[in-house]
Amino acid sequence: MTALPSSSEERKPTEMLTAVRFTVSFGLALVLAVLGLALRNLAIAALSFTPLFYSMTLLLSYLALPHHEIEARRGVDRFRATEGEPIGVRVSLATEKGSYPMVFVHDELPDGLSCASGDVHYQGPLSLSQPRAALQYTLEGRRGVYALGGVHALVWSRFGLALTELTVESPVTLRILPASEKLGVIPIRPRRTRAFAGPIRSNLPGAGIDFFGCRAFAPGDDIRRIHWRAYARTQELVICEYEQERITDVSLILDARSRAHAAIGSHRTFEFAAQATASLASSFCRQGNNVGLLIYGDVLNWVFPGVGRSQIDRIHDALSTARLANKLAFEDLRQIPTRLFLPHSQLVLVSCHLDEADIETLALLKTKGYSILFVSIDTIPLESDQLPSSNDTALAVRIARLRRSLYLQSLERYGVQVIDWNPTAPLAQAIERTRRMHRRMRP
Amino acid sequence: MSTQRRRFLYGTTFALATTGVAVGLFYRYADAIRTHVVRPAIETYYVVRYYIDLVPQLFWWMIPPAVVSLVLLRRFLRPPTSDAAPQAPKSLSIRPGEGELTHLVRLVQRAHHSRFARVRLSRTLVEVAARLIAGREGIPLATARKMMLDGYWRTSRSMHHFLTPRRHYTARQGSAEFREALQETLDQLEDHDRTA
Repeated sequence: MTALPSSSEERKPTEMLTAVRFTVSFGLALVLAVLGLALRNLAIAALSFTPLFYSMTLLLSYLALPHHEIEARRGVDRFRATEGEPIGVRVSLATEKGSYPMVFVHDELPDGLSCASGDVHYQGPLSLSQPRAALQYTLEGRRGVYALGGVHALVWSRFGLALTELTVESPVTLRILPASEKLGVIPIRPRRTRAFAGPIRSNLPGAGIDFFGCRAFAPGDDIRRIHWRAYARTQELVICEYEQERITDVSLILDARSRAHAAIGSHRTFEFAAQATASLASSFCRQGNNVGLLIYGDVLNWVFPGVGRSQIDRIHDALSTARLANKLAFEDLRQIPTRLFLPHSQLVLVSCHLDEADIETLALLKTKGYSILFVSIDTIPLESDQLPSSNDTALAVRIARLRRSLYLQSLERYGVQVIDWNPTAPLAQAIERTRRMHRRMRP
Repeated sequence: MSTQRRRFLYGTTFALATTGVAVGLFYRYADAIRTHVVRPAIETYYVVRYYIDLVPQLFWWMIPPAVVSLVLLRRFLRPPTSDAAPQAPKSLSIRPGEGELTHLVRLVQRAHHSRFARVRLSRTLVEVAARLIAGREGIPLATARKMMLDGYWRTSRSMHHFLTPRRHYTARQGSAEFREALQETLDQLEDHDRTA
């Protein structure tokens, strides 16, 4: 548990309820008294006694309200968590001088965070002698960055007539990262690789596992690589070569154009895209590749390429703040800033949307020498589940499927690798299916 | 007595009685009827006639725009011809946050009532079919579009109706025929996609 050194008391002059009650009761007493005196009617004047007594008691209660300092310390067991992962929160309250007969404490949660277990409320006394009152609960939330602000406390007087409100600041910032899954080897084949060993086949002869070719023996070659059977046939020394496996530069592009995403029931397709991007980034980084991220749709949101665990964190942090944007300048994919990407490197685009203009743009990128992997999120099953079943829906589903299938086939003809992902199933499954298909197609 | 004969007798009696009453009234109150009924009717006729004669002379230029407006508004005024198709929203563009499938469903629903939606749907299918031809024949997309313009799908009547640009015969069909043509077109396109 991490305790934060923060607690500043701020008294809010919002005792509106007490003030209104006092004004109404005292005003009523005054009116009745004046009316009784004007009419010289003792009975009416006597009626003013009850509201007068009430208002005076209220005034005394208010004056007797304790004005000691309340200290709140909010501790969380982690500041970063992935979606669905619980975050334990403990708020401890204490008073330094006197005691409060009755307090009601409420820890307000921002939109997007919810209390998974425990209670965010406390009601009871707060005093020096008693141990510190504490709220203990666990939070779960959607992807995003959340600032937990002050703890609200309502304080009652001894007789419960007057009350005041306090906000005790105890700021904490939580970051909820997109959920990611562990992926296997992703089948990419960029035209350019780096010098260091990795899992990507580099189309260069050297040390490796996959057979690349044979050539005549040259002085200095490792004799262990001599193809003895070929020597027996031809009486010439022949060396077997294998394909080198290197690391490469991968640029992930998350499509954040609002026209490319939809809200389908309780699902938002952008969340699926963010999760897929997070999973791919983790996987590529773990393989040792140099990975960057571009969130396309708003102003330039670019995570500079890097390697290692810290790069995964940087990319996940950027994804946690990614939002949809509706900018006319980024209406289609033509405005992708290709200068950010290294020539002949691997681009990975994650999107739910595909239209004629996007296909043309991807084909253009391909002709520029980039290797492209397009992770296409298939939202048709999700949408068709939400729509009422009818003949029209069935026809529309058929049209949508046919169109999508033809678009993906077009992309494949242009040489773009496609991973067709149905978000109701794991992404690893879709990647494995694509890998198997590629293995079948390999000569 | 048969019902027909009874009805005839009642009708005749009523007509005779009404005529008798009218004759009696005209005979008894001739001046009053002339002053309060006949003369105002004749005057009204001439006043109406005057305006009927005058209006085309003064406002003849309003007729062409009125006719054009009526033609344009006809699709909104026409009652739905579909048997059980539900009313779809008017807008056909993709709304923010709406998926493509939802948009397509809306387009198909609207296509039962709206010629405009039918043409939109037909255009969507034309694009799909052009891509299919381009993939199957290994030709550029533009060439495939041109081939469709020349009537590539003439072998099938429904496909020819749906998929020949600038024709859109489906716009003139009834709802049931339209649905049938759409289904047949989709069946054939899917077959072509499978065999490609």
